[in-house]
Amino acid sequence: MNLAPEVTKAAAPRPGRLRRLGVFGVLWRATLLLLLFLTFVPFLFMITTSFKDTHQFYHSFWSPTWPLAFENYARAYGDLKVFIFNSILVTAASIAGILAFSIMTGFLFARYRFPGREIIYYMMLAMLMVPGVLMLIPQFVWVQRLGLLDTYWVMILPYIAGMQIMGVFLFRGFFAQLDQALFESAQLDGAGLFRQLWHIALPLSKPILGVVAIMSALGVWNSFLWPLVTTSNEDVMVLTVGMLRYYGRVLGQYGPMFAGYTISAIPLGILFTLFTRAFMKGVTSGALKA
Amino acid sequence: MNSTPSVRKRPWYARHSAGQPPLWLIYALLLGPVSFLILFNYIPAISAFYHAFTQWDPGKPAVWVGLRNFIELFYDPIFLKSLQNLLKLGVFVFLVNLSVPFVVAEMIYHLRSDRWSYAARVALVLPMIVPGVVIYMIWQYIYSDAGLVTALMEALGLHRWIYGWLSHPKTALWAVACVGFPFAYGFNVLIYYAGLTNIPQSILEAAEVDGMSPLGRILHIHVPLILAQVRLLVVVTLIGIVNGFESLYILTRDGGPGYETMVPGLYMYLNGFVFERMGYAAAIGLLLLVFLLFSTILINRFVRTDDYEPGS
Repeated sequence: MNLAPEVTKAAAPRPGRLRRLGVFGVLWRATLLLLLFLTFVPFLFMITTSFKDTHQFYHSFWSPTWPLAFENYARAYGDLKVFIFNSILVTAASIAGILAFSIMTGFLFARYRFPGREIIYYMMLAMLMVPGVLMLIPQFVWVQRLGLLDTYWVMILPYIAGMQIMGVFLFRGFFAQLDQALFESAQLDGAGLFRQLWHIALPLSKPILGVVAIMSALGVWNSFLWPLVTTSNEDVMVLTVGMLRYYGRVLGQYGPMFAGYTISAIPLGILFTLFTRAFMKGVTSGALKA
Repeated sequence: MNSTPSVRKRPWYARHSAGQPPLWLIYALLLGPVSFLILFNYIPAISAFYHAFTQWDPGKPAVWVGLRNFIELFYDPIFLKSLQNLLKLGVFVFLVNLSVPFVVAEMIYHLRSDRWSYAARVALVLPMIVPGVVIYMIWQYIYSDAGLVTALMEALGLHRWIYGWLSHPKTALWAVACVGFPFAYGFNVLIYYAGLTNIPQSILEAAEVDGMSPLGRILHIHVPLILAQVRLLVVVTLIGIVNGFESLYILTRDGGPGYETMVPGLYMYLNGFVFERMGYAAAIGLLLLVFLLFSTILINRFVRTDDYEPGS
């Protein structure tokens, strides 16, 4: 199948190409396209509807309409901007903490031997087996007792605690497979732990840094149940929970509702556009959690 | 480890073998991560375990009641109904979440152009930029009176089929199960695809020389060699089903109509935060955890693979 000469592939005009695929080849390519299209139907509908006013929504349900009702977006942005800001703040702070902790810990675990190293490591990994949702209630009571409810910290601190683990796992693995001679020669030149980490390990670990950052960003940005139970003040509320409030406010007004939904996708959309490859890898790296 | 005699004379915390920072520095640097781990993971986990055996009402101290919560759960019709729903949902979700992405991954794998194959994978990941909560909200709309399903049935003239899919007891659970149609999840597809691309070219070439048909290659070479990925997806899907009541919280809020869409996770949430029976909720959580641990162990036992390299 793959043995078809490359030369003809490049030179063949379009009709010949289709014939070479055969009935079956055309059929499954069409099926793939159809599946992709069906996957996108809800999102396409979301975007077209977000530009409709009420009249347009009821009178041309399926087709895009003109003029575009930009006021939907003005309305949605006005209502959602606080939540978006909060989400970005919480996500950025969590990522910073997760990266700082997991890089440091991963480096120590990979490079040095010290009593308790494996115990601490497995103590961390063991927590991966406990899905966070099952600890929802005791964790809630605990942060309530710590007086953290309705603050940014109630989200940031537990996120760092929980998500550093995947990072430690990935960074330890990554640093361990680097050429250790690099570190040893730096050691001979008198570079200590921090300089080895900063000048040798970090510059080499940009790809995995991106993966861990994106993975954490996805996890924090999408988390819903935890902020739902720990925040009720809209000043600190994140976007996922805020969307629920917003939904209640625009009930029945489909234009603003879908404009809000579309806006909620923009921040990660930007991240996706800027760092497509890291994003694609970050999506699957979290799977190690199993 | 290989410490020289001169090093041994120092106090233990200042000891370090060649090329290592002193122990006190290492432990000081670990203090942050470890205290976070204890504070926000271990304390709640231990508390969850302990409180499963107590009656624990908000604002009052917990009272030890032994196994009472578990015995009560055993006779609780709502909990039993939720288990039944979980089983139904689980079977359906397992079938479609493992099969459709495999077919899609095979299709993408067989695309001859690398560019198109990458484009297809990017397209499947793209929906992930929409927060999960919002995706469920969109589906809630899709099933609503003014939604896509109703409009589609109207356009097709199937007026008998126009009703509240999510609010009718007969269809609610299946409507929930069908959220995410056509189930070509980017995550699962990427995992399968990674497995397929890891298959050594030499094996595939050998099969080709032997004149194996494309279907034969898929069944006899691809499937056995991506078992590691299958196992990973089985575990991830299982955890997702048992944990995942976010979708139900958005779609039906309280497991209604009646208890037709109640699942154990949602029942736990409702007990903890609405019915104010936190000990009972902790007991449900503990049962789910034990169930997950046992199934994960069983899955790893039965789907054996030698080179387990998930993700990447």
